[in-house]
Amino acid sequence: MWESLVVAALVIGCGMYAVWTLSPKKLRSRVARSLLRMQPKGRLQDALTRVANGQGGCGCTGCDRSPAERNEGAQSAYQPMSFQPRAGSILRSKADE
Amino acid sequence: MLLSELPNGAHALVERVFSGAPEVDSTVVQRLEELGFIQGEPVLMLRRGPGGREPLAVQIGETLFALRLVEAQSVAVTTPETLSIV
Amino acid sequence: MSLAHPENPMVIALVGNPNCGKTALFNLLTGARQKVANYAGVTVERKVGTARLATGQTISVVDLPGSYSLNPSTPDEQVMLEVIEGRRDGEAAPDAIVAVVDATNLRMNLRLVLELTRLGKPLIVALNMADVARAHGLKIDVQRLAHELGCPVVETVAVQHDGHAALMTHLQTHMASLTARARNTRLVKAPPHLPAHELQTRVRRILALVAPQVPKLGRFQYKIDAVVMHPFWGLVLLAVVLFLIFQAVFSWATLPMDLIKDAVVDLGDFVVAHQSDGPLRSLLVDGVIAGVGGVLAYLPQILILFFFILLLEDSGYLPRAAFLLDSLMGRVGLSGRAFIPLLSSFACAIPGIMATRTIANGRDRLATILVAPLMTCSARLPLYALLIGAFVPARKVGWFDLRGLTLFGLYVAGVVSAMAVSWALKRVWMKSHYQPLMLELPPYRKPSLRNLVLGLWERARIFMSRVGGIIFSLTVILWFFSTFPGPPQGWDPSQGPAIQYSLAGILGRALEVVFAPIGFNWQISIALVPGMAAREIAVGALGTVYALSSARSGVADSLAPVIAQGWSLATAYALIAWFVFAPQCLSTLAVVRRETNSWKYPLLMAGYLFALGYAAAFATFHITKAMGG
Repeated sequence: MWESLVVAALVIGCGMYAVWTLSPKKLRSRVARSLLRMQPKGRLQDALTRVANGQGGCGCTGCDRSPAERNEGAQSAYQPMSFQPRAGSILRSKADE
Repeated sequence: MLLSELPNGAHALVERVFSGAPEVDSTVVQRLEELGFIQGEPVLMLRRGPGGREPLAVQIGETLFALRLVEAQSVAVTTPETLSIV
Repeated sequence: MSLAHPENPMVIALVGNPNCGKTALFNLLTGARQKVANYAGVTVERKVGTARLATGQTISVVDLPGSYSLNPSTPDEQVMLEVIEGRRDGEAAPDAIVAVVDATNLRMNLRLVLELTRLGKPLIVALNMADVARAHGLKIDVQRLAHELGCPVVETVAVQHDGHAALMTHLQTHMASLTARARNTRLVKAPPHLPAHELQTRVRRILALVAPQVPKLGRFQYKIDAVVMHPFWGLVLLAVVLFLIFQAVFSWATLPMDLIKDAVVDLGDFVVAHQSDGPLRSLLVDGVIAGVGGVLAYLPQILILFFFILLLEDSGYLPRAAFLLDSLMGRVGLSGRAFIPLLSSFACAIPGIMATRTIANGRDRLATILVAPLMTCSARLPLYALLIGAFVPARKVGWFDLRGLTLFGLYVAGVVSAMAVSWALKRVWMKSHYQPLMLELPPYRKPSLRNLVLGLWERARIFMSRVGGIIFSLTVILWFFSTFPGPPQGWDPSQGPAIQYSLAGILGRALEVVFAPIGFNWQISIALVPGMAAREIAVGALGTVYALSSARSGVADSLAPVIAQGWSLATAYALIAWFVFAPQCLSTLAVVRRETNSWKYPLLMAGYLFALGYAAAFATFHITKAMGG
């Protein structure tokens, strides 16, 4: 009996986690914001705030800003191209400093 | 003489930067100047990329840059020979 | 005016050329206490952090984007100038400016510093990489430089963990005077701009006084470049380097992989011994251990691959690779600036797609986004490794291991297909335009061990959080769907494994209709479904599905021998071919939607990748079968 409970709890927990992670960002932000209204404390609050502000998934952080303007490329295109040698590799950061 | 006409390994001095091709607008010209392509600066043409046309690896001052052909065509240079003629 | 106090901390702005180590210095000063955002209306990043002085006081540090001059020619630079001058709404004017200068390239870096001295704001020059300059025999008269510039000069070494000590000390001792002076000279307007050649004359004069010997790039830099950038030998070297990397990925990984696999099997046996048969045991053994454990085994290979990528990046080799490949890329219609986004896509297509923002031309950018997924992302590595490990014998071909060769071949296939697709796009509806290159080729440097370790640690962390998060949860869910609803009354194992009566089994058989022509059985078909969330899951999913199909219940078998026996060679090769092209994970499609602001392109991308994958798998399957596979 308890075995089935454990299994069920695990499966349901994983289900909720998967749904949460795979949901579109806007939806998650909205849910996080409404949850924040219930005034959680401490780390839960930090985590919810981060989601509400739009932190990305996939284990990545900080590369998730929506394009500010359509001609963003035009502006940075004329910057000389350089590989950022320090502070995070090019594999994670933008091409121009 | 244009930078793009320098053979591999040749030294020269920058004369000026201008728009040497229709795609090279004033922003690009300014960028090139800011990179160091300024009158009197020594420049060294290192080599071209596979294919022999572009990009062109160029040393301006102490920095190495790879440029497009049209960018190199926008830099006028003087070589020691032409200098001595004057 | 009041001194800085907690509500009004002193603000310093970091300014400097790109590639001068400014960001590394910023990281040293602020550690993890940074916040990144955007200035309203423009793309320039607003990076603010707090630095803590020894006295306990905090100062606010703003890292402005790298630039070569104060002359604003783009809106980004306009913002930067406004921030420095204190004209930006909502931004506190910096009390002091720290000009970060690359000591090995004063000639280029001093121009900006001279412009800054004319602003009249308190200025401190941070002479960065002073140690490298000295190692190259370059002697800089720091006192003289300070005198000529009219401002203090401190040495910093941004790659050392305490390299910012001198700067911090200086800020501390002078904080009072700096803030007092600054707040008395609030509104500062930049004086009329000096023409470039006049600036340069002044720079040359200062250099003659301060660093009189002509600083030369070490002779060895030229010698290395003579080979590395050689139009023929350079490409050969590039190929050899890549080759060796893939060899290493297989040969170096064998030991740690076996260790992990053995540990996983032992864990499975332990659970079987201590837990009686039932859903919990099945969940643990067939679900978690077979599934997640299967993916975990590939961590060593991913780390080895990234070790080399980080090594190449840190050493300064990558811009040379970009140089060598630029004309080839141009010929298939890819902009020269596509190199960095495409290279990033080898780790994960998402940052790669975002990096395409630096490509000005809309169509060029779109073309790069569309082909980025063909670059073999790191999530495909477990899949390739599993299939190669199970189906390609560990034979030697000359010096090289056949497995490493195959892996190399798969990566090459990804790149070649990207070029082919790009070329097709160029022919059909997109032309490439002039893209400014102006690629800086920094001097070669010894890769920093610290950066290497940090980079690998970061990669391992990302991998483990994926495994513990989405991979774990989807594997459990898959287990659930593969177990329920169970077989009907009166079933016995001779009628086939229980899994075929589960939801997943039923769904798998339905999907099999679609995939049978390319040789996929229903187990593969069902494993592809959770793979849409994260590619590596397909490995774990296969593990779970086969564990549940196994006649010997409850024993943790390793997946590879099971599929090596169960699948034909044709199926295995077809699956590999499929993965070279198959559509990306959902997150990537979501990012494409955001970046292109329409549904059309992600759908187009998914569609063409599916079609290519199917066609490739079809061809591979039937050809291999015809050849007796």
